[in-house]
Amino acid sequence: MTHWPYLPFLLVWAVPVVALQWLVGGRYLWRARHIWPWVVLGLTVYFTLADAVAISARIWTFDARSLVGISLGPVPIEETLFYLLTALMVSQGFVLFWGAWEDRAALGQRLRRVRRIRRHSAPESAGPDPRATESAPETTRGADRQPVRSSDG
Amino acid sequence: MTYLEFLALFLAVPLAVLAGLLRRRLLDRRFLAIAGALLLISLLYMVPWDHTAAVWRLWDWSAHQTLGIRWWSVPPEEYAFCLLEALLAVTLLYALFQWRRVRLRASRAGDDPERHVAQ
Repeated sequence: MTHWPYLPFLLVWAVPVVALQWLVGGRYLWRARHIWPWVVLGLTVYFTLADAVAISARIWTFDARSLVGISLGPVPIEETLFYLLTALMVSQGFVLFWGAWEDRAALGQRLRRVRRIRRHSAPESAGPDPRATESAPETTRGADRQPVRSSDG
Repeated sequence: MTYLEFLALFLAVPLAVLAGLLRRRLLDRRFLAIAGALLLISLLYMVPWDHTAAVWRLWDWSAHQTLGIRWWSVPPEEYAFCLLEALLAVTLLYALFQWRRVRLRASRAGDDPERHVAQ
């Protein structure tokens, strides 16, 4: 059976996902840029070392004809790239979900506040600005305080 | 070394260390929901790819160092590897998010991303 070599097979599988993640949630990834790249880098190094052990122990083997021929010790460069891309997809996925969850929680709180204001202001709609019944600065900051963290330090 | 021993040494041990450090914080509803979703997505996305590579013989696993079972051309240990690798990544990231008190939502005033990571 004719088949693709490892490198293009890997890139076609992973790169569109990484690109899509940036397209959908680039703002979250950018805001957390001080954290996730280090996790990706650390895991890539760690799994490359672990892979060297597995290959040396012959737990898994590769078809040499499918590899580009560059390796780090016993580890083909494609394997290092595999760990880089899988760590990237998972880490970025986590950041996107985490950010979306925060936004969803904040949006829910904002909607609840709007409903509360409407309810309070309905009987006195002809009166002064209904927002005066709410402490505006408090509510603005309150949205940011929502369920961002589950516990302290 | 068998594949299971490899998983225990390189995946289960660091996960156990992280679990020991995080303890009750692992019960956070948001973490559990996101980790569960990502693990499921990882498995669904990786297994067909892995299966195709195995059929093409890009790589193979030692019959003596795996359980000897194949689920769709892929040994069960490989499924476990996929799940544990994703779990290690999300748990590590979650731990860092907790310790550095990361917030990703933009503030209304200024929208300065730098302020969202406690230094």
